[in-house]
Amino acid sequence: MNSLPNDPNVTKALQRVLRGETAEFEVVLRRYERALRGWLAAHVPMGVDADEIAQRSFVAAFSRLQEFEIGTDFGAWLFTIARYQLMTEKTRLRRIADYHARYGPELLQRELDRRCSESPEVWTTKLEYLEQCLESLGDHLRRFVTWRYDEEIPLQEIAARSGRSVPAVKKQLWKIRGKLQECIDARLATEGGAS
Amino acid sequence: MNHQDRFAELWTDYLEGELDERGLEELHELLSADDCYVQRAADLLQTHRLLGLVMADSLPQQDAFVRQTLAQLPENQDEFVSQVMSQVSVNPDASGLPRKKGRRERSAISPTAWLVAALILVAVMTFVFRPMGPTPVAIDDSRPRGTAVVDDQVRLVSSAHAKFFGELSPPVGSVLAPRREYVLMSGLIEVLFPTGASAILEGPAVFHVSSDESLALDVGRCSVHAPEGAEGFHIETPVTRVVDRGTRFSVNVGEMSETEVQVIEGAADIYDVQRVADSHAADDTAERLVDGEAKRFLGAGAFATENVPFEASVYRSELPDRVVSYETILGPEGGAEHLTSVTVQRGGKAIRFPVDSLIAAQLTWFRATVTRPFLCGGETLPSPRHETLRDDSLITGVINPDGSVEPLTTDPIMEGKAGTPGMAIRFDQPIVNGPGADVIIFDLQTFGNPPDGDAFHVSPLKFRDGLKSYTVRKYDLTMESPEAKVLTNFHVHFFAENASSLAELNSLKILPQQQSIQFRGLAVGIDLTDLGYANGEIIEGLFIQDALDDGHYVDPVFIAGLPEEE
Repeated sequence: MNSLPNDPNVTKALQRVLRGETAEFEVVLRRYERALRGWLAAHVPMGVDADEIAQRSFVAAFSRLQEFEIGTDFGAWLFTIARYQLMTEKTRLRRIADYHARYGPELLQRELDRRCSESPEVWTTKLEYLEQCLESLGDHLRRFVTWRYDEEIPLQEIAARSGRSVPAVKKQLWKIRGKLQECIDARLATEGGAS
Repeated sequence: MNHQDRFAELWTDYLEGELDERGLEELHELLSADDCYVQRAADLLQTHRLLGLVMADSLPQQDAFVRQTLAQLPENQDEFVSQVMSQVSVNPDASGLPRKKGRRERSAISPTAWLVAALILVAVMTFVFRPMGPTPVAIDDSRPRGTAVVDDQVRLVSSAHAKFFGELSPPVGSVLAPRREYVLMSGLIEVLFPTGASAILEGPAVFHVSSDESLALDVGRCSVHAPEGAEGFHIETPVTRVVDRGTRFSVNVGEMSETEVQVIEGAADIYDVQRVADSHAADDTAERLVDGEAKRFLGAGAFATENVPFEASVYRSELPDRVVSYETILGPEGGAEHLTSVTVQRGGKAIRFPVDSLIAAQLTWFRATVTRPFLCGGETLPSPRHETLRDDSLITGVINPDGSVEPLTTDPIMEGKAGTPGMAIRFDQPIVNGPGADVIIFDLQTFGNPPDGDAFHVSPLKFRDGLKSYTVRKYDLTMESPEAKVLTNFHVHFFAENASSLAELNSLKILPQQQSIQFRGLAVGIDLTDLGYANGEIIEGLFIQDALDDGHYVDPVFIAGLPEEE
């Protein structure tokens, strides 16, 4: 019998959901959405919407709440469901015969699968570190990140805005991602963020 | 250019979606050559994905995510709650909890807290990662059967093929309005009362809820179960009041108001309603029937009784086995799309099957004699196209198969031009004939099509003595079932020529056309016993033909076998 402590607010919300106040599930959603979306974002194959799997996981958790033992770790239970949802999606993709040929180097998929077995908690930490690393990025580099990931501007337009060629923009993005990756790794190493 | 630089180029192109086929091949080679590239690629891919989340994420967007997810939670929360409440013993402390509070603001969690959680998680995972994945789950389908009742309203708790006059069937879980007349034209429904008594009504029946512990039945048959604590529950007919004094009885009211009562278990007291109305000493007029007794009560001017044979078989203890409901993930335009689970009553027990626990079916033969659209799904289709039948989408499939007015009586021919029109499926693993439905079929249907679903024949791939075809003429979930979901939009793929083989189905030129009308996902369960298979017998596949009974053809979009119950 699992009797590990849980977030008391989540436990209370879950009890209310079970008593019929289903709107209280929002408390649970808000508590876990970022952690779950972060973990899924880092593990879903290319071309798959992490938020869709996250939503599917929450819906599955809600639908199967009667199976959850109040007082045990809801987060661990939710991530387990998400893991199964991710496996389901991968199975679905495998059924689409030419998916891997078009989108996914298989060795990369295997490496992502292997990383799925790592603790999901570290991904919340990585998200936090990434935010901090972004802040430490100089404005001249950060604008590329904003254009590419926030405003989702095409590479050609980024090139025009920055007065560079498209290959130069690609190279810049490669460098920025590498720099952020190193920053996250460094923080994990020095601040003991890794599990 | 060295390998490092080339990898950087290729990988950036891959992340930007600009890598062509040759580039992908080159990338494959680099990754295969050195595991360091794989690690680097995975690191950068994950950073890339997290950047997408961090940069695009804002409080409004987080809020939108929460809202969208809340909107996807099962609609029928009453049913959900009653299911949960019937299975969960409420924590004694819970009753002391304060009423609903304001929303809690999202709070950041320190890395230290996560570290502690991570350590705990290692231990937790050992427990939590026990098998709990896509396994079928038995559901208490809200019938009380002697358990405590938590609701204080009279509700419709299940229905099978129910049709109401002038209105759609109320959704399962909905409250039946007091004193409102309901006319059940056909099918069955089960009504649950706050005391725990339940009544199964068979159409045609005219009834209304007369109080929290009584049902007025003007015409039709109902089977009553009043467990301990529900004594006194009664059925009012035009001539009698049948009061429960035990547990199970049935009441049948004829068109001339004659009322037949059969007591299956316990006892029931029957009163003349006219005398009850005239006298306060109603007990004086009661006639008690005990288990194994039956009587007919006539009220044409004078209350009279006559003995009738006792027939235990008229009592219905449960609704028939059937597909009860299904759950889906919504498509981008809001309609149902991907099947996530299906709930089937088998052997009287409601079981929810996650889609991954179902046994997929592969199309192995297809032959049509007339040119029609044979595929539906997205604007583009996978290769081979017939894989659309295998996926969990309710808008993709191999549709409009050919058929025969007369069902097969001999083995279908599955080769050459003399092949049998229709389609054959083979399951990924053999299906075992268990109680109730063994195979489920989902069908696309719109309001211009037969509301009960398109009729089709199901036949064995290999006939032997005792085996026969079975014709489905009415689905478990029809156009009139609230449980049949509205589907998201999809494309129908028109063929320029007739597809007379599986190869042609996969290769002939097709033209996609967006559907503009609303479709629903109907469902039906096939019991292999209806084809003559013995209990426990194994089958590997089936042959499906449209029944050619009208101008409409069956549109299978999902076919799967149900796993054997453990």
